Amino acid sequence: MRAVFFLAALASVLAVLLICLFLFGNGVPALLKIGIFKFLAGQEWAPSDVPPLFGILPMIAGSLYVTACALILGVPVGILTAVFLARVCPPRLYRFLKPGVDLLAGIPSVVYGFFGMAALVPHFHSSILSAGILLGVMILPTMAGIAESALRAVPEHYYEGALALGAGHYRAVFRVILPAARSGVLAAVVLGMGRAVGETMAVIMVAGNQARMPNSIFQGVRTLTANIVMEMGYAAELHRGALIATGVVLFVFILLVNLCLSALNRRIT
Amino acid sequence: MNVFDITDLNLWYGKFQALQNINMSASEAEITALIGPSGCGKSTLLKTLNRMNDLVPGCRVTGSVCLSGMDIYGNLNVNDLRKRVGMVFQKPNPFPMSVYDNIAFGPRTHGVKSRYALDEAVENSLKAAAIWDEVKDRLRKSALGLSGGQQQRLCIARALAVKPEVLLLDEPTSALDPISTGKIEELLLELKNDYSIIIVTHNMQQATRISDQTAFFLLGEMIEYDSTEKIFSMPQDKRTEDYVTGRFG
Amino acid sequence: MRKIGYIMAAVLLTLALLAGCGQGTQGTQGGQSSQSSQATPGSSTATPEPEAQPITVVSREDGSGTRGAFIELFGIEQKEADGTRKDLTTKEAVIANQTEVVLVSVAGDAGCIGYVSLGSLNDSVKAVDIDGAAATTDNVKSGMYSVSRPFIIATKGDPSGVAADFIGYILSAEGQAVVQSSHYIPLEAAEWQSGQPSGKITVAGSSSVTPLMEKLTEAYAVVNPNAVIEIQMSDSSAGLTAAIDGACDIAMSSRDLKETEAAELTPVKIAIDGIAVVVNKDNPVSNLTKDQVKAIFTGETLQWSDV
Repeated sequence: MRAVFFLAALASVLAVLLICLFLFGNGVPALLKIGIFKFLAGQEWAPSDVPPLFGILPMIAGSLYVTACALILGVPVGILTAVFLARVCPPRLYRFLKPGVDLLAGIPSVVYGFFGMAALVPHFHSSILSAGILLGVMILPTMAGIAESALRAVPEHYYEGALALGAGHYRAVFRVILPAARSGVLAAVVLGMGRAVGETMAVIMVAGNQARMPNSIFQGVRTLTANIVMEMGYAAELHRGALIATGVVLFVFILLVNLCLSALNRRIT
Repeated sequence: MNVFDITDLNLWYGKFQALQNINMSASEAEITALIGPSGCGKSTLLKTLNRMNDLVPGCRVTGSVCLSGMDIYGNLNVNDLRKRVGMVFQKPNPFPMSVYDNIAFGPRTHGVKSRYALDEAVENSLKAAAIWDEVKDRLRKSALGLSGGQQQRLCIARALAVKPEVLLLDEPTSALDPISTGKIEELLLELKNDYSIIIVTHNMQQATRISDQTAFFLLGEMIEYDSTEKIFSMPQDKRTEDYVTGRFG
Repeated sequence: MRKIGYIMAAVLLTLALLAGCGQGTQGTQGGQSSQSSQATPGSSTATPEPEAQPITVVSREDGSGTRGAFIELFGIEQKEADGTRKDLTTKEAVIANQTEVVLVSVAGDAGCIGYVSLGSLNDSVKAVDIDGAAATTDNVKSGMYSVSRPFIIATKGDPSGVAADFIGYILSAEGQAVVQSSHYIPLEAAEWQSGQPSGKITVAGSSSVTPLMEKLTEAYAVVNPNAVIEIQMSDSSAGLTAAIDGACDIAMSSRDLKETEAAELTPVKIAIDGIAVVVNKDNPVSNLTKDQVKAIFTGETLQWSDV
């Protein structure tokens, strides 16, 4: 019986190992052939030119800007939603609100993309702002759900203790309960960030996909994920290797973000 | 003047009546003990005094409870009431913050901002709770790292930091070892000079050790209320006698 | 008090949503109507005049056959004698990864310009004349509208079975009749009889060819109900790569094959398609020269007022 559990756990580890093997095995040779510095810092991406150019700095910048925008918009709303659901909302309203928020999480990316094209692009054009707003809405339910669970997991006696000292309801919630749920809320933000960085379909439809460094929030960008998806179908040899190397960069990026945030978490607690 | 005057207090949780016609007063500079078997309503009465019962849905109160002559269910601001009537809970519940932030929480809530004033408040409260020497070198460390007894004294210090008139304690030592219990009882005897203390206790010996007045409760009714000496040596009601002599508990 | 707050918040939110949706649909219709906007608070009645707007260029992704043909036909791709090639499409161009997305983008933005397969053109956008010639199938056939490219399907080696039969059908009179009725330019029809083979094949590639391929598949199913044909839409380069890799049986391409691709695949031309340069319906521009188009798409001309 133990063996069954062990094998199940092993399956996940194996999957991660295989993915790493594929990524690094195919990406690193291409990376070395193009030249690491030319790849990471190069500002021109033109794989169909002869000779081709493989600089992904514009895409790195694109992913960073779009994710940052999504987080700035999505995190405050997500956390406040969680606080509302966990500690303010009357039970009758909760019965409608919670399924509504959960439903948001289940909407397919493509539908979000079409919504973005119809509602955001006419106003903000295909830009970092459009993509940021759309992603902010997409990561909202994930973050709100996890943060809400974390808030509900805080023992009630902290709340009572705060109230007994003369603190009002909101003071008790924001100064005692929310800090107590810190690590859960941080986990929610990390998950939201992961989803924002990895989201491809919806972003392709609203971000403009220009492969160059942006100058303002109203200009379009191309993200790392969009770059891979748009060109993977037909890329050959070095171009293909360059796209897999882009995957490696994404992988390392997410790893770094997770490490930073867990270090931050440890420092706070 | 009495600190607390309770007149014809009745309390219902939904349909269940938890307190019946309670009439009693608590005086200044005294320790009043509330004793009785489990489920008799003594914790409920305690929570009525600082309106923590408001948190329970379906709780209904009739009668009057007056703090220094003012009806606490009247126009009094609830947060102000809880500042004047502090509470220490059965299980120590320090916030997951540093020792300093725990004590400073109360003063900060009530408008104290200056760093100097907060430092002073923290030091004075910790000294008043006789725990200053043990924590003065670890003020910025998490309060959760203290032992059970230390945490409870921290909670007492936290309650003292807002300078209340009354201190309510709900079985404060039931979760602690005898040595910590002894320290806290010592502390309460010192504090009684400056604060009125009402303590719920399951431990009759504790009541005899520290309290001046004792009230015996049974099934939501207050059976007898008199000086501790009289309750334990010459109880008037048979039920009181049965309880203090241990015939039931 | 709190209840009032909740109700107010709900009402405000609903109003904001209505205003947003109202604005959105007005934008695509280029709304100049003042009456209808009374009902939706916060939406503006006047969209800015297209002349005053900057040009928003919409292009296709790198692997698109339509893009490949477009940049060649308009001279946007610079070729040197030593073999180097450079695509001069402006870096500011919004990249749409499908024909549909180009149409929706241009229809939704008054200052947009893009290019799509002539056969995919619909009423949501306006096709401009190039050098005085309107973008119609007749003009492409006669040669007056010079912006055209072949639709090519390719197989690895010689086709057989269902693939061969299907290709034969496409080149026959019946198949070319479908091409004609779908607004593409047909070729000379060839004789052919169906052998009624059964089996399943996959056809993958260009999003420009896909609408035509879907119609052909439908018509072929009537002639030969034994065959099952699955269509996968991506773009020309992806389809050709898939055929080389063996991931599909027939590749669809809306441009000529490159040397490396022609080395491994057998191409067959099945139709001719024009490329329409499209602008928003509110844009007063209706005729452009080839040089003007090149200047717009390379980023030289930035404002509609300069055209």
